[in-house]
Amino acid sequence: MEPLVSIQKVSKIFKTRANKEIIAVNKVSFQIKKGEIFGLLGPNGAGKTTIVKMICGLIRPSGGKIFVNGHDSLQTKRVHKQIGVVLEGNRNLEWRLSARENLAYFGNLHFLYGKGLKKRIDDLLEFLDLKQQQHNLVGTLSRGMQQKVAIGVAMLADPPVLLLDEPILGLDVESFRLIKNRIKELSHKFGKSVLLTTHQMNVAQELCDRIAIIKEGKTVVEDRVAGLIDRFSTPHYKVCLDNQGMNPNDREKLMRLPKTRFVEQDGGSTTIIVEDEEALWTVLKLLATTRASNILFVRKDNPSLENIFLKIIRED
Amino acid sequence: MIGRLVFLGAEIKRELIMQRRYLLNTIMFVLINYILFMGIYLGIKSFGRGPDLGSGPAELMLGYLLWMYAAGGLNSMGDQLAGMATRGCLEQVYLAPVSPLYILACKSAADVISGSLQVIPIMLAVILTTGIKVSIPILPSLLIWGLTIIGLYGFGYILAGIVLVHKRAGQARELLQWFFFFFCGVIVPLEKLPPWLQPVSRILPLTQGLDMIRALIIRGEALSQMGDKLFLLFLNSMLYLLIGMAVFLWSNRIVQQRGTLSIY
Repeated sequence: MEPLVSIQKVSKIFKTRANKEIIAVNKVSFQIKKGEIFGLLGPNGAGKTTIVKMICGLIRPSGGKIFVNGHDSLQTKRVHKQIGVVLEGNRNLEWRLSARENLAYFGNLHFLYGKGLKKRIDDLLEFLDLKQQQHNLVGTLSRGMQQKVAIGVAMLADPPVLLLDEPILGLDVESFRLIKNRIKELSHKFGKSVLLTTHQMNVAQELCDRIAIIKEGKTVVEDRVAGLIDRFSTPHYKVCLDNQGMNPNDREKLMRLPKTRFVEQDGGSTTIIVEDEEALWTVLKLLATTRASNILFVRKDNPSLENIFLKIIRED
Repeated sequence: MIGRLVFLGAEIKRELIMQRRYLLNTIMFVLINYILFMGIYLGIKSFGRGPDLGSGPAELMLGYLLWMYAAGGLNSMGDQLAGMATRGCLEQVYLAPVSPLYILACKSAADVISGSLQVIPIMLAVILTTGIKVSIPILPSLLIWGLTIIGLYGFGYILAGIVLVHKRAGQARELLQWFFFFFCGVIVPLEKLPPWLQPVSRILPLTQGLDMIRALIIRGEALSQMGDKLFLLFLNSMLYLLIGMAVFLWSNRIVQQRGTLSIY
């Protein structure tokens, strides 16, 4: 299937006032297919927002090519018809207008008008649960409400591609859940291609079909979420022991076993992290033969994207 | 085409909503400009400009009103850009499927239209309180006024380019605004300017437009008698507009390269 967004070896070099060059994005490539949610993850300053703005044509790449539904990103007028964008922070709305007036204003700016626009606004207000607040000035709305209006603005012209830069940052639980569900719906039900940048790994793990992790402007890894977990996670088990009656010598023996480490110890219990199944059997056998302690539980831990992200970011 | 008209309509509607929403501010603007005009008018009347200056109150009123539009044309684009950047919606407006040139042109046109709603009460108040009588041939006046404003848009684009790159252009704007006020024949007749300044003043669209509008309204000349002047005003205004657009597009490219569009 032809990708809707194609980023090909894109670079961006900024110059400081002292004429020093800063490489913000370094030959990044990825593609987003129709109906796919693509997560762009990375620490602060990794280059995520710069990439989003280069796709929109707000920033000119220093090198490489970007195509949105077949249009070069430098052909901004054509590209803008293909995308809806929620930019990072509070930078999307005319705060002296009400939510409804904002939707009408930006709808007009995208050439929508008349009954068609009115219906679209009504549908979006419903979809984003904003009916009650539609006549409130945007400047008086909460952050979550403003973010919902911004998503509405991005969706107005029903573009095939949505670029969402940190859309759920700083939201309360209710707004967070609603926006998360709506993003899922937009992609899986309405076939939108979504580029999502976020710091919240649980959100990325739940929403994204594929993920690219970027660090210092470079793509470190790009894969499906499940693929990433398979590739980078080391399966491990947790064995939790009751401290009562544990003999120090037995404890020493346990600590000397390969592929194990004691990570936690409080007054009542000790947790041993075991790296694989073979090592787990060795630990269990030792515990059975020495009767060193009562086993409170043995659990296989599911690796999280957050752990993988941290591992990748900390490694060079 | 319809889409572009809808775009223009959106900007006009937004301006009118703002005027209504901040009504007190709108009323204050009208009052300040009325007081300012009356101050200048009464001052000149008391001290006497002398018959040799050749300008009557009607000329002063027309000059002042056209200068208000000129100042609006100069300020509008830069102010709109700076306003959008501070309110945080500049990038979202830039994401509309039109050129930034068109975005600014529409915003300025909306400003001119909403500004006219403020200028008309000022003009009526001046006519009622001073007894100045003018009969305005609407279509020829609109043609000259329109060509003059187009030329001033050129300066507006240049100032908007400065705002885009340097973020603040208040002093450059003031400089142009007051230069136009004093040296384009608004209150000081052209012949009274220093000889070296007169050629500079003559190539400015406001000077040419003002001269033609006064000839049309006060001296009763017909538009057909001003063919050469009209053509010159058209060429001059187009030249300023093209230069302004080129400077703005160049500035736009700079901020796209620097990634500083939304920074203010």
